[in-house]
Amino acid sequence: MGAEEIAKLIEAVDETATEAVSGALAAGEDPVRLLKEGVVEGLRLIGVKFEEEEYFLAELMMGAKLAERCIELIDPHMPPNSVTTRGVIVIGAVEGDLHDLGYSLVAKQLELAGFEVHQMGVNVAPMSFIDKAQEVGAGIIGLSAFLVTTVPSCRDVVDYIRDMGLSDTLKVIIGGTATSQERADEIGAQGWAANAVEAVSLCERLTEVEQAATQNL
Amino acid sequence: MNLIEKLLEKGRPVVLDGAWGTELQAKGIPTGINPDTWNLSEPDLVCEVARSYVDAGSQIILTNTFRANRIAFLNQPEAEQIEAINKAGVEISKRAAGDRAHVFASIGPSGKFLVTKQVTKEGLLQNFAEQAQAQASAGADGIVIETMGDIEEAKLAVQAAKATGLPVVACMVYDSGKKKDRTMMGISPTQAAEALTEAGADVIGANCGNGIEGYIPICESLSKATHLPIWIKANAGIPDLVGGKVIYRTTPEEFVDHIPALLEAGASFVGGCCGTSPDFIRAVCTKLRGN
Repeated sequence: MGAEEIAKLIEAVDETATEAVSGALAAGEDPVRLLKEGVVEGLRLIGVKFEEEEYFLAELMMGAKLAERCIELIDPHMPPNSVTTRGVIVIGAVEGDLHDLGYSLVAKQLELAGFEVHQMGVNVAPMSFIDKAQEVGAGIIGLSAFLVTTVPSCRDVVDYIRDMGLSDTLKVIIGGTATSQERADEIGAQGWAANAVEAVSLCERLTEVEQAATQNL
Repeated sequence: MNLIEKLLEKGRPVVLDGAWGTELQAKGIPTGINPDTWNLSEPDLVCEVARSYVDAGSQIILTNTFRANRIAFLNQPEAEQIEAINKAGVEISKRAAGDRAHVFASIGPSGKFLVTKQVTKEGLLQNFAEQAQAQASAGADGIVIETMGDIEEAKLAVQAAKATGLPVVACMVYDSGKKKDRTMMGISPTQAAEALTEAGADVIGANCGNGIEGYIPICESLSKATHLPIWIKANAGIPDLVGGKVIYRTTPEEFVDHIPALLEAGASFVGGCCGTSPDFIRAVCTKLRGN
């Protein structure tokens, strides 16, 4: 069974995907192709169904678990230095917000998409996000706000970054039920994502822009 | 005759309370703390919220215990006060209710997912059992499981609550899907009503996540799928932030315009969730009973 079939099994959240991966590896299939065109593509297809509201959180989370198990099988077969991080992200729920469901789900999807993710937990002070981002060399801070009353905390993070002169290297994205693109624009954040799947696309876009800018220097 | 039957004996809808979180915020609860801790630190302010609903005409009020479970308080010092917070929550509402209203204790979700193995079924059951037992021992008249997105978690909460011997209301939150008629995990009202009826709930309900008009078709589906009475607590629309202030667009007058349709759809217990206030409950009472 090849990468395309594995992608379809993952899209269907079919548990036999792990057996298919083991079989493909035993048959000598290229592990890099299995990872990218099988597992990662399968996750992308789940994301499409989620965005079309055909799938719900249950499928998204079970799909992520299934993909994780497949990646664990593929990992030992990957050629040395073939795993590259797409970017470093610090993520958590802003000060005043105790909801950990949303951001932890986003964190998992970002990890599966190849980002190095540092989870900060809930009720995180603005400077703690920035300190952590500087410590780990993150290019993006992801802020989760489920309560409208905590949106001002998102603004604080954006303002501190600007005041510290870090805006060129550190982007802020927001998400959670209290947020919107309009609200992201209002507070000066660089992006908004409606859900975990959109968050991955957004981080990919921001990272690509950053890399292109670096190459042009 | 149990309490639920007694409440519905006259064939008239029972009026519930409105939101607690937004009312507590109006009383100055700081962001970043679990509001349930106010049961111990600011009981009089919590009691003011409870009393405002009794005064407005609520026949059943809830308790400020939505997130007072050990999993929600994980790694926080308050975890050791779970029993005290729940007991105090019931006692405060009973003090406010006197003999004018019944007190149903609130149990919300754990905030963790079974599907990703963040928690186990046994862990959840133990978690809810601790909360429900504390509420029952403080004299709650019933237990309301609310804002559940995962049917498996809701069923475990029903199991834990039923073990107290109190009547149990089981509510899911419908805020997902193209028609906003599924829970975040994709459960339909029909699936939820069937599963929660089988789990032993005494009343099937829905709360939060949707404005009142959105709950009319959901109520209809719930009603068709179970012989049990239906409980609906809708939001005052979807919140917006204007000039740093939280605004809920639906007014009490607009809210109660939908009450007849909600009753027609099968609701026997009606109240409000996020953004509703004692004014909404007063308006509901006026609509149902005249002045």
